[in-house]
Amino acid sequence: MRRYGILSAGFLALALATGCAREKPRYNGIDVTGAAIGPDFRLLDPEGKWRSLSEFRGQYVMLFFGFTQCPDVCPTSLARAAVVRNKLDAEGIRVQVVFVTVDPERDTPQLLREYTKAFDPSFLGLRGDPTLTRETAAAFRIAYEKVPTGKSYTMNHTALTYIFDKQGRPRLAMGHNQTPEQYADDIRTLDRSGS
Amino acid sequence: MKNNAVKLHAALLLAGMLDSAAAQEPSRESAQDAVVVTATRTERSIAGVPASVTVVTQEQIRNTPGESVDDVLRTVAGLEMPIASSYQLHPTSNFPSMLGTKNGLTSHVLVMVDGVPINDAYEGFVQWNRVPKENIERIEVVRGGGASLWGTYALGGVINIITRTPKREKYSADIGYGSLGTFHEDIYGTPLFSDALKVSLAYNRFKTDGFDQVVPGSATPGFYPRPASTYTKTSFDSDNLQGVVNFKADPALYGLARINYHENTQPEFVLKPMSTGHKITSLDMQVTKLVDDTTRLTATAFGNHGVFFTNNSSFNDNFAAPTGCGGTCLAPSDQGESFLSNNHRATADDVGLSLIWAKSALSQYIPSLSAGVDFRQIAAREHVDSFVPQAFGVPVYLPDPANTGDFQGKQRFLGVFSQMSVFPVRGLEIAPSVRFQQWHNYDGFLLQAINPADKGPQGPKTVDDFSWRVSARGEITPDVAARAAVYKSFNAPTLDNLYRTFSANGFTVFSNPNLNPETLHGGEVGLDFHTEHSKSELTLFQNTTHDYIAFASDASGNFVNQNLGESKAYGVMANASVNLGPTLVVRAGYTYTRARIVSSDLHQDWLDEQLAFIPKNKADASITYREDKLNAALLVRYASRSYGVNGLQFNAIGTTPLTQSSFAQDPHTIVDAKLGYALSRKSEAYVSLVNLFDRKYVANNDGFAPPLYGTPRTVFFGVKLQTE
Repeated sequence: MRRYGILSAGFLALALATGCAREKPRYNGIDVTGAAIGPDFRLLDPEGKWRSLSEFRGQYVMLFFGFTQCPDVCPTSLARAAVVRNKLDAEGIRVQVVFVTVDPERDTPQLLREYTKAFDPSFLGLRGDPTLTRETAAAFRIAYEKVPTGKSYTMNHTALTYIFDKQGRPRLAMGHNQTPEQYADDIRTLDRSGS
Repeated sequence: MKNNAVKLHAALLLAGMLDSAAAQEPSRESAQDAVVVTATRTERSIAGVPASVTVVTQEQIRNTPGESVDDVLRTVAGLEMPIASSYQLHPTSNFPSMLGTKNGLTSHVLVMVDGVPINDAYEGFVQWNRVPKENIERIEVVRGGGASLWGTYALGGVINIITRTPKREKYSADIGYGSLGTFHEDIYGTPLFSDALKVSLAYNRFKTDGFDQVVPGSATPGFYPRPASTYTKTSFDSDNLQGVVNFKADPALYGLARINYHENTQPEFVLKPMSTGHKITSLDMQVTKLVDDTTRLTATAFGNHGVFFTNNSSFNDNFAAPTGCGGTCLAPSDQGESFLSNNHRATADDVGLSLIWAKSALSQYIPSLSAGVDFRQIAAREHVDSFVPQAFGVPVYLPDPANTGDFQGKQRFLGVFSQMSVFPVRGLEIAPSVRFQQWHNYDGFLLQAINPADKGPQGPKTVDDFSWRVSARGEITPDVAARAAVYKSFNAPTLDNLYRTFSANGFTVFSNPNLNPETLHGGEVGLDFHTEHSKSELTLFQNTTHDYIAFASDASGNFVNQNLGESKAYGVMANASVNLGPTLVVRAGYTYTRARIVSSDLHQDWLDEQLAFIPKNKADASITYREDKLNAALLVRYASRSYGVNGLQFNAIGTTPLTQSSFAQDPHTIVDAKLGYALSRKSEAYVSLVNLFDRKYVANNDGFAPPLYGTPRTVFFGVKLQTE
């Protein structure tokens, strides 16, 4: 009888540790659920139309800030985003990639269109004037600065990619060194949880 | 990983390790009485082993000021290591070789830990920080063709790193900090210890901020010199976490199981967009069964999972030519910037098995006979994203779809081998070994090729090889023996050589799925001098490598991996270790190596040049002093001028012919020192000095980066604590 008691207690403990106490999903990226990021932007697309995050409800959004003359981080981030988008699209999970320039002085609408299209025709490039860019970046906790390079300048900027869920809520901040598989896994995890 | 480290720290602290502060464990081991397992794949005393063998003892390892295992091995006679430390080089340059067999594209030495290979399954290089110095019991270096026992990679010899087995319950910590932001911590503990079961845990961390390696005013081939601000220090950070279970079910059945996780990063490598990172998880198990007093069976199984990334850069002015920029060239005013031209992410998995049967005391004339079978399967996949500069009024960096995608390959090795030891007359041992092996290459896929029609799936290839070695050793007097060996050895091209095309700094090296294995015929003769207080040897060697693999330009000027022709090497090697009383040990070594390509249909310009990376003369000497509390070592190492390339290897770039002399690596004499003092029976403080006189010398000049200096003067302080 005592044995059954111990067994029951063991099962109870196991149930609490696993099923009953619902485990928090594990992500490769940083969980930023509930953080004061955004919550929205209002920026111009290359056609001159105002766009906002809220219009992408029903799909996941990967949001990245960069600039088109970026020699390393931006091309690799967008190339990775293309892989992630294609992987998930094949699984029926819709992802919109949004690229916001932190260098609106040089990144003209036409350049922004050509640049994002080169990675994936579905990618959306957005820009604002310097003031709007500064305000938007601050709202999304993105730091950037102009760094002179002698004859020209380059931009230092935060290399995170934000993932917003289907309700437009910030959920994850993904690092630059993470792989397409890790990005895709995290979005799948979000999708499984119904977010 | 850092979390794991914290947990291990906590566990060890709970175990009371740091309270019990520790002392330097007395060790009077010597090279004279060591037991070696590598030369014959069975245990032998080094005193009578019929091969050219050096044992690097734990004491030598401890007394070498460098931070990595390769720093210890650099001075071993006959061994060809890169001059710069492994963590200052791109990992894909870390190829050891021996006796004039270096080719710069793969290892010609099989490197193992306790008999398990650690050459990267995909590319053949060695991540030396996978094996922290602190975990090593001894290192066995066996020279000359070793494929008859060990198979591929052992073309020129074998390095077997023997790790320590717990002899008693013990906890230790070695923590130090030094110049160049160098830091290490080695934590070790045995939370479970009994005769039947010994469990040990080790955590090792090493990091360095690096130094300004690039020689001012220099450039990579085809580019103009850039300002110093273009370049960056090569930092390095590695973690290693290991758990080992040694078990002994009964006196006749014992073994070990080990799990190891290693990760390292070079967040910036010479040029800002360049970086590397590697994560390796490995598991290996070994079980030995003593069937009877004279018969033993040993089974080994291992598996590795590795993820390796490299980001490569170029300068955008290389794309200014109309053919190089897709028709949208950058204006001269927009040129000069470095950018990330491609990033690679490779996954490599390999598994291996071996079973060895060994019988001793067969008869008066045949004291030992062994036979075995081994198997290794390697699968690698890689994804590459490539980018090219395009002009849209300003330079931007866009995907290069033609060079973006996946490629892969698989290899399988199956070997059957046997070795026996025969004493036909008293004092003379003859040890023949033979191995039949089959190399099967399949599931290859090329993403990039010189001829676009060659891209895509590649056909399988199978090569059967028969390697052999006959070694002999005869005692002339009780202290002097003559030794000789002849051998045929083998090395298969790696999956990297076959399928991995890469671009860096403006040029592309194409892989070649049609490469044939290299084979080596060679021999050596030598004398061993062995007394109670000394061991020394003198060896003359000669070998010929057929189908020598290297990258070189083809008839159209493309760089491609090729079976270039035939190389020959000969030389002399001497080393000695003498105990001058109970406190003083003197060691010295010297190697002369003449190695060259002697025939090549493709590259007459390579003929007769000294092969790249091999100095003709290399020497070292050390003196170590040890008494009650003091431990001191002074080491001198010398290497004559060497070169980072062969012939006109980079001639297809730029307009000025770049001969081998453009890629000189400086002759250098470097003095290192180490001083340790036992503060108590459980603690020791030490200071290490590398490059005491702060000599500046070019340590790497392989054309993939500008010439790079070797380590400047660095000072490192540390404390070691351990339980008794």
